[in-house]
Amino acid sequence: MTDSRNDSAEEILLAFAVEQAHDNATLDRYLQLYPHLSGELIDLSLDLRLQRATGEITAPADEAWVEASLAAFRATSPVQASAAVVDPFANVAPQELVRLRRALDVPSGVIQGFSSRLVDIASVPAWFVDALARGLRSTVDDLRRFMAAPPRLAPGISYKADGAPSAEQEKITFEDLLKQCKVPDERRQQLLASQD
Amino acid sequence: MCSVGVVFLLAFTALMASFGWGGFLGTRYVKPLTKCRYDGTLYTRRADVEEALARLIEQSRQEIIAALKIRDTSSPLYVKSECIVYLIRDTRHDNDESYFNDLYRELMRRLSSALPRIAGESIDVSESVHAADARDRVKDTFIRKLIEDRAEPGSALDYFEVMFAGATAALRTTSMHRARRQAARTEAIEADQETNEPSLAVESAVGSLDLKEELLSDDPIYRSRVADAIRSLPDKLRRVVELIMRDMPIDSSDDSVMTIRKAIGVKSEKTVRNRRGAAYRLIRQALSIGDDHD
Repeated sequence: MTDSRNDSAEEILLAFAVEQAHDNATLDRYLQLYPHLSGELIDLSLDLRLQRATGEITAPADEAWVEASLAAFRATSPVQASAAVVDPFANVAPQELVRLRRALDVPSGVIQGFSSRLVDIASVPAWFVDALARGLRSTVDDLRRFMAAPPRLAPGISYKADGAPSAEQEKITFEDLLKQCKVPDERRQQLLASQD
Repeated sequence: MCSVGVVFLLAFTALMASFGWGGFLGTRYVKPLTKCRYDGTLYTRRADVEEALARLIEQSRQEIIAALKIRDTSSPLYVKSECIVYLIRDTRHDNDESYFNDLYRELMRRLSSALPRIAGESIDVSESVHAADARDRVKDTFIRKLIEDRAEPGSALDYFEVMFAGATAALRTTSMHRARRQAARTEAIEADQETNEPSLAVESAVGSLDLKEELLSDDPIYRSRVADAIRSLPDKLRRVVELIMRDMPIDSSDDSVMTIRKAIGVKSEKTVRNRRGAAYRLIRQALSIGDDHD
């Protein structure tokens, strides 16, 4: 701020807004440094005062406005670079998967629930996602990107059936996956808990 | 100094990544802010925000989405707006659209709530054109910043993790100024009384009305009415009111002292007094309070 004439007005006002104190000394300092922004600084100072005075009075959210802004974001946002989604399971040997499931203390069905993208990643505690990603020598971001796609047939699994096997249509929660895999109650609770 | 700090942070982050999240710290970590103050020091979040984030990053997305529905700000599970900004920025490389949408919607609700409506108008009636325009501009500015942040991590949104409501107010201020400039609005007080003597009526309008006290009223509805009455004033009057509430001297023979006359850029202290009188008269009218002489 010592010589920041090139700073945009917005940056200066943002810096003022997040100052720890908005006392006279702070306002004086900004008025001295940015006399060309005196009107805006005084307006903001008043706005912050009125915000404090009426902070607990919140208007009901304008849901139409909220939805319109989401649509605006989607419309403005560049199409997400469809960076190739990496399959974190692709280069992991079966023996490594066995070691991983033992390390995580889960049945193989749980690992398959991830490799087939059957489980809804949003329902999985963050610590487990991290642990699994590390075990796959992948990253949390790559694993989440991979899991966001619809379920698929788990690779490397043999099927015996009259008809052609097909992937599940809908994802299931982590808890349901653990139940389906008959994970004992106590271990299931441990796996579902947020690690503090 | 700040660049050194950022380099250190990046190195530290890389080191943590090389160990894996649980490698040696035993837990995931909340990424620090990278925005620098003018004196070179890094901005930091409030302690309560840091504590809340430390808890949130250990939770599943399902738990976070459930917590977003909590409206009671006193609940320990209530997700602070600063935390939502962190979480949404953290989805940068994520294509979990549903999670992003939930965070985004809640953030926009908070943004909308932080933007005041003018002159006591409620959501279902038309509001001040400028305020409505400014709200849309704030939304557009925030969206632009969010898109830029997602494309290339920067520090532009750090302010919103420090103090969401304050940063929103700052965007609103710049947006209101742009909206007014574009509309080239002529204010009611445009024919400035730079040379007019303050009238007795103008002086008596101020009387014993202490707006700072009024804004501390126990009645939140009344406080809201006072705030609306102040917000509805023309720019030139409103600014004088703010500086009066700060007990800033109207004028001074000491050049080093900041005064209202200097701050609002007028030649005569009488102009300040005129504006103060006009402002208080309008506020009294809005609040149905008579002059002290009434």
